[in-house]
Amino acid sequence: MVFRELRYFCSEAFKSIAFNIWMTLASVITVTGCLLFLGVFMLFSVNLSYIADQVREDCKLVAFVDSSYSEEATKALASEIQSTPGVTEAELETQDEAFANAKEMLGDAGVSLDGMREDGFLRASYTITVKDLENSAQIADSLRKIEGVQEVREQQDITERVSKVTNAIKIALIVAMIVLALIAVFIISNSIKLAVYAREKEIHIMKYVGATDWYIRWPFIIEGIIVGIIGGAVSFGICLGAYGYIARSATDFLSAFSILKVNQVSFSLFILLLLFGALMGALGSGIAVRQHLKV
Amino acid sequence: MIHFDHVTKIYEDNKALALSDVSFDVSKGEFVFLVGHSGAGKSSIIRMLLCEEVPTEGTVIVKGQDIGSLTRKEIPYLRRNIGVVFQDFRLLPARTVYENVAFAMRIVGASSRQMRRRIPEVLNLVGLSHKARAYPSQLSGGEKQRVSMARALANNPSILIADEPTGNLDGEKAAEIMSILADINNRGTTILMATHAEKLVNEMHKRVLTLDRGHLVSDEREGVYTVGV
Repeated sequence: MVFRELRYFCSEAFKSIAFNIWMTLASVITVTGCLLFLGVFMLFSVNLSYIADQVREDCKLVAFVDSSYSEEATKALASEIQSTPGVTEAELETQDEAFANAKEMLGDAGVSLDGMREDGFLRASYTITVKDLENSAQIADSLRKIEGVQEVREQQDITERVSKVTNAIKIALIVAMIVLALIAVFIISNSIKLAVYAREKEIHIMKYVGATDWYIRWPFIIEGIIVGIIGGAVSFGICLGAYGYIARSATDFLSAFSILKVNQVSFSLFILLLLFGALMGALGSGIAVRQHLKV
Repeated sequence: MIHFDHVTKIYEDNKALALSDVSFDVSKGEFVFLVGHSGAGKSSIIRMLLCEEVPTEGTVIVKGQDIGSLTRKEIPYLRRNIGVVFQDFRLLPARTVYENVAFAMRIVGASSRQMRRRIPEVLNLVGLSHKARAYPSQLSGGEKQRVSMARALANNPSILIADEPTGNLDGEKAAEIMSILADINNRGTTILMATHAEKLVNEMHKRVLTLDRGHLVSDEREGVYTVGV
């Protein structure tokens, strides 16, 4: 019985689409435009957070070891540092290595460092990766309590800025979703309204012979969902094609950071656009039918 | 079957008094005419029977249910017990006679087997078996009204409400409709018919409720049309 009704609702929805084919096309196009914006926005924001993650990954704590410590004593600190809660990795740079690195960085001018090797000018250090950058201040505090750790340097300002940017992106995405949702609902509801007008007489008769509200509503809601899903599918195709092109060319000029690959974004993009389209379609037609149910 | 108890109806938008303290009962199987000038309150009674309006005061009970206390969800189920025929037929022009009747049955969840059995039955009852495949535009006014009667009867309602069913028809066609209504009534369906057709009322010798400006002025068994006399 449920199947029979579903078949009837779908056939009514398709009939109505065929009857209002130009209006349906017009609303599919506008909904596609809306969802296209949403898709672009989503791709933009996931990539920004992806890049932000890369920036954060580069953000590490540096713990400098007391210069009076011998190399053995310095190495002995490793286990204590690594067992500090929140620390995932600690990499040692001995005094010798620090000296060599500094020399290399200065290039030809590096010779001027000769002779300064012994006076503790450069200290050995541990470069520490933390699990969650938000807690880096606390981790730094506990690292400072370890005997032999002279100083801990945090890159607090960068991490804060990155967090601010990603939070702003998240908020912007939500706002964009709401605005685009309103537009899409408005468009679909207007298109369905025309379909409802065309069948006003039918709806009246249905009411008189005892059709329930949902019985009348379903075909229109299915029609709205179909419009939304088609809009979603078309905008998905366009977004993905454009993104694929951008992702290929981006690797050439964006050397510092990488952006997500097409296959990493395609699934969530697909789900977002189709689900969003279907939801907006259902909502829009629900609104359109509402006022016509009062008999 | 139908019970009006001190019913007053005042429309909110224009404050017009449509019905004033109207009480009457209709038992199962009765045939009742509802007569009166335009604006006398016939439509208000019909609208309440169809649950389109609720009384301002008093109670209207249809098939044991107080229509004033029905929820939106319950209304469709009560309507399935009430067939309705309008002056303007209200057929779907893009569907055949058969489909117009099937439409009403599908809504209440009838199976295709039930439809195949019931639709020829009701079309036969209104004498339109041979026009099952015709479209409304190919039918005369009388035939259209018979289709709408077939549709109203498709779900076996216990009450049939006819709102000026002969208003758009000439004398001969109207008489045909009346004889079908009498036939339906003889099979046990309660009929309430609002009309202006004096001749039909007088010929039928059925109960007549006469309304005048919202008041029920007479209620006679085997009555006659007395409006404006």
